[in-house]
Amino acid sequence: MSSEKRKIAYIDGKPHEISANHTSILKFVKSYFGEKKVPTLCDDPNLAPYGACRVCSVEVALEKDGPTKIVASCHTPVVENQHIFTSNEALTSLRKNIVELVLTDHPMECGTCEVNNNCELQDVANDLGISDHRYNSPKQHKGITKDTSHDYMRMNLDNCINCGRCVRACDEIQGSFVLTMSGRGFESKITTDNDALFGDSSCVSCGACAHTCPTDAISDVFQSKSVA
Amino acid sequence: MSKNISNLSGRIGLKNNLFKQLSENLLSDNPKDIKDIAKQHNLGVSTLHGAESFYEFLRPSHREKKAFVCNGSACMCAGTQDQLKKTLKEKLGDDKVGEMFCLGHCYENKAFHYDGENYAGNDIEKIDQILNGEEIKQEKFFSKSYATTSFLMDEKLSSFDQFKDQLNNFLKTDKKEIIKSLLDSNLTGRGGAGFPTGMKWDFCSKAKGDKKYVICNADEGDSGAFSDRYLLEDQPLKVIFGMVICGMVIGSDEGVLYIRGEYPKSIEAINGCINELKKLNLLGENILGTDFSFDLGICIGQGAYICGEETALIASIEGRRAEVDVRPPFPVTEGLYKKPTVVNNVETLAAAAGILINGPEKFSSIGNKKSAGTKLVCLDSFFNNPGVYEIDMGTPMSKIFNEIGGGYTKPVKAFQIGGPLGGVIPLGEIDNLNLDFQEFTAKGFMLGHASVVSIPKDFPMVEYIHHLFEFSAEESCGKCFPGRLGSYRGKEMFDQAKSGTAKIPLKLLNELLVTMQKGCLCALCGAIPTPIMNILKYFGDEMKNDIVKDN
Repeated sequence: MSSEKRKIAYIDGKPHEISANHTSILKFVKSYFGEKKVPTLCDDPNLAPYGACRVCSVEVALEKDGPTKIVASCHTPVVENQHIFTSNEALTSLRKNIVELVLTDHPMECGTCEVNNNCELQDVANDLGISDHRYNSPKQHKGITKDTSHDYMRMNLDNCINCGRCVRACDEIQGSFVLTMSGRGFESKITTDNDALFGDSSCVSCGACAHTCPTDAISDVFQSKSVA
Repeated sequence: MSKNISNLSGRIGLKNNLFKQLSENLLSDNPKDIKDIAKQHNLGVSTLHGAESFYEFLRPSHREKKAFVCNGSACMCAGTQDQLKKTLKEKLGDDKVGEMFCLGHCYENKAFHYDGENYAGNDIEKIDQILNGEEIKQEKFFSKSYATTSFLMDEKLSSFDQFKDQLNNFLKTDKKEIIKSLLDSNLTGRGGAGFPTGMKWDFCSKAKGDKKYVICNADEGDSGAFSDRYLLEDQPLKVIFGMVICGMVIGSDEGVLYIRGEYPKSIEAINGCINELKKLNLLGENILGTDFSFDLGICIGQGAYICGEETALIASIEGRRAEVDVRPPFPVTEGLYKKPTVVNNVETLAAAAGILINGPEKFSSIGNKKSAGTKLVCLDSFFNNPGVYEIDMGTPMSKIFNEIGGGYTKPVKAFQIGGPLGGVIPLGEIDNLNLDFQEFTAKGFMLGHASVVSIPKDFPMVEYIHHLFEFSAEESCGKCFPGRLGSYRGKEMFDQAKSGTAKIPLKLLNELLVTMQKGCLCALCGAIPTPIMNILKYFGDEMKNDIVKDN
């Protein structure tokens, strides 16, 4: 047993002990309340915290009834005696609005999608109770040709939500820098090498990208995530 | 963030940094070169392609153009740019004229960039000479200090001899004493975040690392601001002195100024100084015979506003995509190439130099504890006396506008102070404000860089919101979801209102603004709602039922 004093922080009013592997608020909360307590899209526990999707936002206060601040739980450290609120009206509204924005650039054809009922975006959207968006004629990146040039992998960027998990898996897990985001802002998109076809790229077919993809933007031909 | 890319890029290091190689070679068009350079770094071709494609100036659509008209907020409000664009198109061809965001000529407008130089004001009348490659005489901005003590505009570091004397003096000063001076002065970062400078240097001096860096953030992209330009061009030795002393204090032997490509004269001025200082052994190995060595270089920005955010700036130099990184870790412990790094804005470094030379008590005695010392304030062409001024913190804004600025040339209704992310303040509120960071924030505005863009009475506020959304959509790094998608959807709403195809749904707009404000990773897309919310609050009446609807 460590002789150090035990440290605690509060999740929704209840005290919980902070341990050494609680490197973020997200990890802290998940360890006590499971995977679903706080929604995530760009997070993968095998990858470094990235802070892109912001749906894991929680409210924190440094003391009881102190002023609160909304932070992304995946990259914010837990502080002793901190009060963490995982759900309230402001957070639900924030998460809904973010996922709604994601849906403005998504095909919304779940019924015919390969990963129907096994899709992180679908899960998060369902849990938040949203299935549509309110924006008038938003420009979409629809109709991008499916890249079937690779023997084992498929790329279907219509379903990509720009979470960067594939790029990070390629870098952090495989050490292979094959995938990258290119362009900037709304026009950012996933590509390989110097804009090569997947099959012509330097990909070593490790499958880490398909494994982490929250939708089926990148999939493995021989390890379908289909549950149909 | 990619630790792998940072570390691999760090093996080559700053002198021949990957960003410089990306900027100078058109790698995506040269399959062999991109492979070679990727191999030298043990990186992927994709890393280089991904980074190159991020920057406006490196894109084919930009490179094929010859002239670029400033589309910054001040030039837009002045209404000078349509005619300017027309003239340039007639001379160069319709497809040869592009745009650049703020060339820092907000005091005279009609700004454009041609063949590596900026022109503005009446320069367009000499367009034939310019196109012939002749050098023309250009007007300079007006600058003057109204401060009790000048820290930024005095002439105490205007010659290399002065630089040498002061350096001799401070190289013998105890590092702890220098940090104490900065802490005592109450200087806070002038780049926007307002972190105490002495504390930043102290943290970095205590951080462990076999190598440390000093970065000068000279990526001033805020429309209305030309204060960093003033310092880089008229007080370059102050800025460099601040960097050298910072290097000495934190234990760094290498620094870099990241200067935006839109400021060619600033790059030239700093470059000239660095070369001369190297010759004089005031930079380089064993400066003035001591065991302190400090080398300095320049990175030239390639058209990305986000690089003014420190983690994006670091990513940019490393040759990563200039996306904002999560914090912690903070740059003082894991900065450039994952080494402890101080990133300071131009004005912060110049102020640090001014404080050390003039004494911290003179700085702290001006203003108050949280808004201490003097600040550069830029006034645009709507003032009778446009220019850059050094002003005591705490000075009433009405005095700055009416006495120093001399009032307005045309009727104005509001000001955007602090760049595109700063608040929009109605004319009537100016009398209730002093030059004070906290006071601005408390009233729902943001002093930021203290640049002033005047919005004339006849300028439609719907246009101004459109301009802000267009800016954030264009400049968003694209990493965080609310930033990437929110800024673009906001722009679309106002596109549709302008073209009359749809009304602005106010409920959705408000939810979008809150989502961006609360959710975004950084201050670009997270603070753009500030001015937009100010406009909706103070000028909502302008947006009548013909362009807005409740739901």
